[in-house]
Amino acid sequence: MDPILISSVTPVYRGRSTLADLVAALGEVRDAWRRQRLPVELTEAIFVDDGSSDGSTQVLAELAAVHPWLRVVTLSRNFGQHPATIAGILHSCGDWVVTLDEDLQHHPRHIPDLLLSAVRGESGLDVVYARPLAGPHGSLVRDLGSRGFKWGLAALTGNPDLRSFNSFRAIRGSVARAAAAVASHDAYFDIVLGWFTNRTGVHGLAMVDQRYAEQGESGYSFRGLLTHARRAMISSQTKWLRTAAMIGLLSLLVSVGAGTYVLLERALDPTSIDVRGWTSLFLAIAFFGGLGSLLLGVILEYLSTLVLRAQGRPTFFVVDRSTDAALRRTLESAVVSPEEAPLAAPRVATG
Amino acid sequence: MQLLASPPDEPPQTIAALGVGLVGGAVCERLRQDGWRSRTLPLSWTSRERRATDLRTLAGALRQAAAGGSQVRLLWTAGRAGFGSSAADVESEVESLDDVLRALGGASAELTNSLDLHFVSSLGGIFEGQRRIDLHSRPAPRRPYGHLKARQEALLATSPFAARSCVYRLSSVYGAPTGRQRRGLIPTLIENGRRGASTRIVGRLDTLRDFVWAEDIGRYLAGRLRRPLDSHPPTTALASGKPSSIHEVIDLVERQLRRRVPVSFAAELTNSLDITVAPEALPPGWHPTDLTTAIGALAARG
Repeated sequence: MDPILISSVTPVYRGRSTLADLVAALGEVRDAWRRQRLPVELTEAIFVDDGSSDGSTQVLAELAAVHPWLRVVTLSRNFGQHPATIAGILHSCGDWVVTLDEDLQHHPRHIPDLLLSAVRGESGLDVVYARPLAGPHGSLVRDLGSRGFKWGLAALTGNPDLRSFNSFRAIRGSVARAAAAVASHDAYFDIVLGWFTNRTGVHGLAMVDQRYAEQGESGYSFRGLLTHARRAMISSQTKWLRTAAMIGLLSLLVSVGAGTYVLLERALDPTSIDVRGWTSLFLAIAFFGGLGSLLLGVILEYLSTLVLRAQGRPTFFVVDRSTDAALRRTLESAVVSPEEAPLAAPRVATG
Repeated sequence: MQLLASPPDEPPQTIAALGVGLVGGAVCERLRQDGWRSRTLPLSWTSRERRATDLRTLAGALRQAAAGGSQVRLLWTAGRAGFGSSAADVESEVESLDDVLRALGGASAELTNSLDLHFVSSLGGIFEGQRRIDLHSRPAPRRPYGHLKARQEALLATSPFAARSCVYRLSSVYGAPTGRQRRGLIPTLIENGRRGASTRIVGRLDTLRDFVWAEDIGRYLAGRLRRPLDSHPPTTALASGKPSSIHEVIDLVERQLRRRVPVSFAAELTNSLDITVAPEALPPGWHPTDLTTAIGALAARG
């Protein structure tokens, strides 16, 4: 049997101090599988130099000279974490792609756990997100803020999966590359993944944001969070438009109903209306306002369909899950990290 | 067959290009752009008798060039076979190369000792189904086309030119086709996309390939052919080093054409195995154009 190939993808912006440890940890995973002669291989660790300016470039060059399985993709400028992740995925060839941050918050020793979580169930998953068992920042305010941001964004976009999104994820290679290929510069990558699969799960892990713990600063600035929110909204806009159209339709129906009532009242009991003109004016405003909102909603729905089509939302996609059973047997037979357990049974998202 | 002679401002060199299809044509075009003069010589691929005569003419021309102080090279890019070829189809191509090697090898000792032979082979054919192919990957052809390329490489290795030869293994080459060449996926998608016609895919959407632009090959080989083989490794992989799924290629073409490209899928997936190349397998000085730029250039040419 051909080995099942795993690619890791790490966007690098300020990773000089952690890259060597990260590569060493990836090397341990790779070596452990090799020592056990398992038919699974960490075939490449792709590091995407996202316009780093802290000396990461030099560190990566030195590491790549020592580790032939390490590949460096250098972006022409700083594009941001999502575009860098997308670039890395598009350079990968693995059956599974694991994305992880540069700061060791996402420790490579959990890669087998994530993969096993993806293939353990009867129906395999295509994406598994790591979910922190406890707050990764070690700060109640920061962790609650992070959680609240995700909850708020999930409510605004109507996408409950958004609460699970995490940059430490295992993605089926074909799905990852398909999503990466179509994701435009403004698309939220995880939402684009949802265009290709709804087999999404989570796996609980203990994670610590090293940078926040040591330096008190997060990888995400307030501006970065706003950018995330904007991308999520743009990539999930249809629900908003439908809501607007529904409000318009409701207003239209109410105005028609009320107008009918008033007309009947006027016909049957002309003396019941004291102030002439006010009711008809109000109903006319409600009617045309509702009609306008409905038509605007319909137009925006069309526009949204075109935008999503332009963004690359597929009509269909084909996936091959035939190697999942082999990967499950392989990983179950391997020595796994004992301290972690799944938070819950993998959840298959719907809709 | 093209016989190309260097311009006066370069050291005297003569290149015989056997095969002027997508790759050979790109090399010749590049050399012509650099001022090389070319002339066409006959070479029959169908009749062995005529081929023997044509090869005697070629050997004479190369001997004459060598005697005049010119460095002589031969570039082999010939062959009509592809992944879909049968065992019977490929047999004549082994025979053709054998005829060329025998004819030139037996022409004269001077020619044998001075002729550098550059042979273009197929990475996909020899390593079909392998990912991250590198310098240590083991050849494992799976179909007649792959066996053809492996046999041709073996033939070269046992020929009188073995010590003066270089093999270039190319991944999936694409470019603007001329004439009746096999078109390949990308030009077909562009052409059909423009016409609104459907393209039939014989692989899967997630099939991974390593696409390399014919013009990059032409530029690189035109440079390599100008230099003696002394310092060259005997085998060179020419690929992009970046895997691309069929889905990604379709998306890129659609973005360039700004329209949907209709595709359908063959019931029998005869070409669905992944073939990708590790970047470390690629030679120094080789700078392939990225797929987005090249598809954009092809789409813009109309």
